[in-house]
Amino acid sequence: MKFKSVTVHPRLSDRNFVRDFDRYTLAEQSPKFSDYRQGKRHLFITSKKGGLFHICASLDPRYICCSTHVISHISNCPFECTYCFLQNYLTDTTLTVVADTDAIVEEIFHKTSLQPWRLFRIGTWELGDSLAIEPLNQFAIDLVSRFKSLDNCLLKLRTKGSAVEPLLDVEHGGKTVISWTVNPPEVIKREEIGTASLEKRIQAMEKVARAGYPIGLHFDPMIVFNGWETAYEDLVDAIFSVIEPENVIWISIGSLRFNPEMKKKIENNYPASKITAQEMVLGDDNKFRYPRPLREEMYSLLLSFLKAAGAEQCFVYLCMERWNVWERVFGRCPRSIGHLDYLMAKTVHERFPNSAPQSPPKDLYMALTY
Amino acid sequence: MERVSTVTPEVSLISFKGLDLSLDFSGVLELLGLWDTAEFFDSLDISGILCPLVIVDARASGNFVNGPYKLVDGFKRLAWARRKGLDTIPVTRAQMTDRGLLAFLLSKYVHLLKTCVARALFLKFLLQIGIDDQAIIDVAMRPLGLQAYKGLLEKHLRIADLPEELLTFCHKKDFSLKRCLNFTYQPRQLLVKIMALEDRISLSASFLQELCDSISEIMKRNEMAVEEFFQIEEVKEVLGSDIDRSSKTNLFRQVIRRLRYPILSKIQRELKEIEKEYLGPFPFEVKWDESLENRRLRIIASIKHIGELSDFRSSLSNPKAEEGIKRLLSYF
Repeated sequence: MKFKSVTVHPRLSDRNFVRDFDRYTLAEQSPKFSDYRQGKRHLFITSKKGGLFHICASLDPRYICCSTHVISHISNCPFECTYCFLQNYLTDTTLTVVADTDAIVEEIFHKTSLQPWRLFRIGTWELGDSLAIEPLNQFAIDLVSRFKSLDNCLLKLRTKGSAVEPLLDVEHGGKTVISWTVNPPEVIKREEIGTASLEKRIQAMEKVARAGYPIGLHFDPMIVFNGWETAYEDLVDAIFSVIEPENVIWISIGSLRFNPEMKKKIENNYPASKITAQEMVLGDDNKFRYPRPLREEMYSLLLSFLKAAGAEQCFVYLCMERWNVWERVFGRCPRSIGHLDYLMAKTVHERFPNSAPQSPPKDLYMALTY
Repeated sequence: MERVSTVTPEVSLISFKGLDLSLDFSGVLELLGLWDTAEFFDSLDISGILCPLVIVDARASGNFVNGPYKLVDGFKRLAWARRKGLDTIPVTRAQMTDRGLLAFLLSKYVHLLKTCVARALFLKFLLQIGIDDQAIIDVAMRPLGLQAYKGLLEKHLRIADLPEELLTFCHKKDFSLKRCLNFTYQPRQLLVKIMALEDRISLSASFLQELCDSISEIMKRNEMAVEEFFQIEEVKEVLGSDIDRSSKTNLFRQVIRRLRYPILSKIQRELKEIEKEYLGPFPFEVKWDESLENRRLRIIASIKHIGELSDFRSSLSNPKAEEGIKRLLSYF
């Protein structure tokens, strides 16, 4: 990825990764772009101001949410997915990275130590891709190393890329999960512009699995198109013909969703994309989704493919779905968001004891409020 | 204060055959129903031409007035004079800079430009007569009640390029900028086709929007051309039927919704069949979430007398009613 400009906050000018850029400008302020695409080509590396650690913004008590936590230190993304909510979200679209590992880890440590019994799954992908900005992978490496000693935290790096080489030799202690958003090649080609091909993603998965990292898989957003059924079956086969289910810590499933303003943005920014032309309904969270019967069909079918591929041992969950959808897909549903949080902690503890050494106390999880 | 135009007070008679008429905006005003030529001609028949036409001398002007003389005011008076067979006409010859002419045109038309469409067409007219973007932004946009920036000018120009039938419709309904802009994202051929239905179905603002959104979505989903959509059997059948305009509008709306929401429509039909078969005879109504998202049935009883309460209670425990409710719930 070549940036048109790189701006570095003077406080970070002595960091190693800065030397990887041929040219950069020192400035305290972002160059500020408002155009979504334009901002992707201009990088601003800055220091930390205010809190960056919080619970995933998608959490909505009307839906079952996995209550993951996030560090929102990346804003915007060099990739260009047609369905990306960032096109309707960012005010300053400059690709901004808060590259202040010490300050970030300090905040995480301070906040997570208040609930030492709880396993915090912490993502870095809320407003961008965890591993897409290759010159900054040193920053990801620093985070991986630091998380090794955070007992009750699990770092989640999530990407649609394949740049994992710098992470392979890092001592991670099982405390970092590297996850991929996966979709059939047809969807990657049409809707996930600039991202790694499925083949490259799977090759990267294989490498991190060999390096001992637990892998996360996110079949989200599932997208309907002619032949989607076979395409998702082939996708599952392609992944599990290379990756052992034992290496997969969890699998999330979700379907395409966006708010009404986003619909217009997608149609304007990507007129050739057909994703907004499918039948959709507006949910209680003001997001369009495929009609529930279709979503249930998609999830159930995918679940059957996963079972056929031997992945039933992995913890499979739905992202941002309703209670009744869980029941109809899995035949059961968590009793609360806290319950799902507990179930995830339990399965991680049982299957990946290095990642979650302590047994989760059910009563404390069940008492969590959101 | 800058002096933008100089009016020569003399009234001369010149031959008007060679006049450049490109600054005529009256056609647009007539299209929008803002000007009634017949009525104006009637008044001229009585009073004759009281005010001289205004022409500009291109040689004294800026870069957009190319002919030797351009008419800037009095197009209809000129047309009337032509119709009457006059050879000469009284005129005032003015010297104006580009910006002076722009100010003149604004003062002449601004009070008529009350809708988004009228403003859009006026801005397009200004560009067509050769006034540059920046002059329009600097001089024309604020008097029209618009913020003076290029993006907004461009949005108006996109609106001005919508099909004529749609423009007059949007003008009549006084549609907002946002609403008009929404149409600019629709295929032009579709807009023309929908506006051509106006004689058969009632087009309200919301229904027009719904039609555009729904049909373009159906077309995109099924990779269908406009003509192919209107060849769909159900569509052809409704539009070609002999029923009255109001029924046809309702029926057409239903067909469009069925095509746009095939999954929801199918399940709604099934739910209604269950309701009819199992719950029809009972003194209560069952409502469900039509989006099918929420698992929640509302059972509504209308009671006029206290005695009806026990009927309601016993009907709820009737095995057939219970089966109906169970079946309805199974869909959620």
